[in-house]
Amino acid sequence: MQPMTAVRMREISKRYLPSGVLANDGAELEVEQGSIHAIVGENGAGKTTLMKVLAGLELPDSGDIEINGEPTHISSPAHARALGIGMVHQHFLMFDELSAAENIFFGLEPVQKPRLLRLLGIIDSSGLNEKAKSLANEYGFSIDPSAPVGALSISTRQQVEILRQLAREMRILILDEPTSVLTEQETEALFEKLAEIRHMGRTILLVTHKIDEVMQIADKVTVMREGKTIGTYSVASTSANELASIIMGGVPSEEIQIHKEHAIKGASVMRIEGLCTHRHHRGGVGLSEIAFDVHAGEVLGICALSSNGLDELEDVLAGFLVPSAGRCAFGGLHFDVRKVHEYRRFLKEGKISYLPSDRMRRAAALSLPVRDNFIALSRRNYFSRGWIRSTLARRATQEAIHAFDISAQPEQMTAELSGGNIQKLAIARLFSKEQPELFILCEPTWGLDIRSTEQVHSRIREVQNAGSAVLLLSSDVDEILTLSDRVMVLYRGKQVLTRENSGYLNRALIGEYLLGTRSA
Amino acid sequence: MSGTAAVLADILKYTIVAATPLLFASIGGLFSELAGMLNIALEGLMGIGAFFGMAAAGLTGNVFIGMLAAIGSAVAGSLLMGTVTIKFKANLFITGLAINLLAGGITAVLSQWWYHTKAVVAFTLPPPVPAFPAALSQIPFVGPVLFSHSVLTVSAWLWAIVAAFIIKNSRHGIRIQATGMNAQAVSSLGYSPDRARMAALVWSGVGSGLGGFALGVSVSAFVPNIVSGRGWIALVAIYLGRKKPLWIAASCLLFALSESLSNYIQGFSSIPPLLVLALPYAVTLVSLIASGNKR
Repeated sequence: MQPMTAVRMREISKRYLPSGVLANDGAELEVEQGSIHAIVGENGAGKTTLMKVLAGLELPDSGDIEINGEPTHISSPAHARALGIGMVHQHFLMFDELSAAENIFFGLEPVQKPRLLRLLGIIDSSGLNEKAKSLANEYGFSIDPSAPVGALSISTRQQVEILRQLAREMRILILDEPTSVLTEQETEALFEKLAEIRHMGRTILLVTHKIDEVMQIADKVTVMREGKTIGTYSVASTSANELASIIMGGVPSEEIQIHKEHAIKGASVMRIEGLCTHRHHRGGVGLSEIAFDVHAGEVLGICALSSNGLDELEDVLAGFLVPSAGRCAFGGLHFDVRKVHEYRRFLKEGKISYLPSDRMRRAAALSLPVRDNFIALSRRNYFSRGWIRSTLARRATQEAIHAFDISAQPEQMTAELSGGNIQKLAIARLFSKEQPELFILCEPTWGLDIRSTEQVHSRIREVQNAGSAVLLLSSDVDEILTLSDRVMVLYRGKQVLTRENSGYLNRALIGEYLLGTRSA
Repeated sequence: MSGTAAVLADILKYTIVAATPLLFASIGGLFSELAGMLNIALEGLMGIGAFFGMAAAGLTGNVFIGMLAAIGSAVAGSLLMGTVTIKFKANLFITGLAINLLAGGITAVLSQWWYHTKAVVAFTLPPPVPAFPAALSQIPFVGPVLFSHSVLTVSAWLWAIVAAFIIKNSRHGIRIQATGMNAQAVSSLGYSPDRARMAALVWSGVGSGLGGFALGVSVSAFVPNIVSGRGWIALVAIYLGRKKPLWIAASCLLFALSESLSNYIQGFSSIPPLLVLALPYAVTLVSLIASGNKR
């Protein structure tokens, strides 16, 4: 029997106004029912836009859509939902202060039996938690239904979001970069669940740019570039290398490889001793007795799985979180880390440059144009006597857009950019500034495609060679191993490994420290 | 009962009376606050409720009908506000300001038209219905403080309890809360954040209408500027109570206590009366600053 076609999209075009960026330019997609179908491409290739069209979040300018063989115009998210299409977003759409069960069954809550209570829509909360538990069990998820989702880890929040779609009997699930925020172990677990969901006859659309994941889980893969569909391939009959070269548009992958050369270590730039934080900041574990130093021309890579203290360390280093104890030496000064204002001064004066991991909330003002975001950290250069020098600012932004391959216009609203492009904008801004003594880079390549990742990595090498110290906070072991001169691992807020990145360290070994099966 | 105890009982009793309008309005305003809308029109809506409620009660001699008129008129005001901001996408803050100005204007014009005065309009209302049996109010100290109140005063507390229950336990309440937390998520799940916002505004209309009416009933008159900032204080109570009904009620009691104290001190102290009357507002300001520091 011929397999049913769940989704057929033809000639989809979508231009964002007022910027005029053409996000989809006659894109095509055909997805078989009951399959896992990956959609890959570089940042700004139009993957997310195409999926938003399918989920009813964006109206296409032109094109035809068929769902299960029926031609249709998807006019709203509610309409998409009625057609059985649900989207799990890259940035989860959650109600942080409501419980997991309330988030999953939002609008579908069971109500109390007695007539009056039923009329008032009073929720049967034990029944609600029961329902959530049994749904989770059905798909092998483990969640605490009564926990407020704001306090849950990112991977659990993602599970809640997936369960929410399953609770709504969605037959076609769209997952937008689901693994970009997950650790390797969490990704494995997610894939097991996706296989289970496919097994129950549902269709999964997986937006990603990780080729190994496509090879591991998908049945078919559609490649997009510059808003167009390049082709759809069966995963069984293609190789990872082939796929990579199709995505990159024919550039052989060796050319963009960078080779790690050992840097010459200079003087100590920053030294931290005995750093501790209270527990429960951002639901975290709290740091205990962290000590490290970082030298000029050196990359210190700090690695941890989620909720093991990396968030707290970032917040301390960014001056957001007041630690409970510790000493810091920087720029010839020694001070108590609890005096954050002393420390914040270095950030303000530009001696320390900080790239936040949360690009949406910390790295960009989404409601401002790209240009304003770009000049934000070096405003002095772009204002004369209080008036903005707009031609100069525009030109500088245009140059950065070009140099960093950002799909954007200087006048475009930053909110319209894809997550990857916003990240590239933040990176471009950081590296266009006067060079600081220390870079604090947090998850610099989260959500970036291969080419952009390589670009960012080579920029990091450049500033390192130019004599800056770099603290690289990343949960990506490969990134840590590629870039770091020394590697430090946090587990449950404790420093379990600090070591030169010589031949001794490898993925497997670091994995053991990350998971706590091996300790210092 | 000794003299001091009697004075204390009096102050506490009046505290509960003075908390009534604040409690009605702030719990009403809590709904719009949870839906993500800072409702600065509570003040104006209370004025509208006070005027129309008293007018209807005076005309019919029936307090219950007055209550319905208060609710109806304030809800009409909040629906107007909702239509302008939600449907026509006008700025919420500016619209709120407009409602406040409109309230002052419309009550003055109608007062002139109907009662030929812009000053105090006194009404003869039937005596307030006590909520508790007379025997209870005879208990020393506790009786006058807690059990001498009218049905209207007690219903403010019932209103708070019912509203708190609806917010936390009903589909409707969850919908309103969710809209305030993440409206985009609400619409991505196929529900309308605008409907939840409109419903929340209706709730705040009901609350401020009742609050304004309670003010009118307490003096058996409509007085220009009868609300005199209580709508704003109710808004502060929402923040001071961190959007939790129980703490909002506690904040209302705090403000009401300062009002009650200032009324009492005014009677005999040599401090200028205007300064004493400023006490509730000073307490509001100080409490807001103090709660800000904690965060």
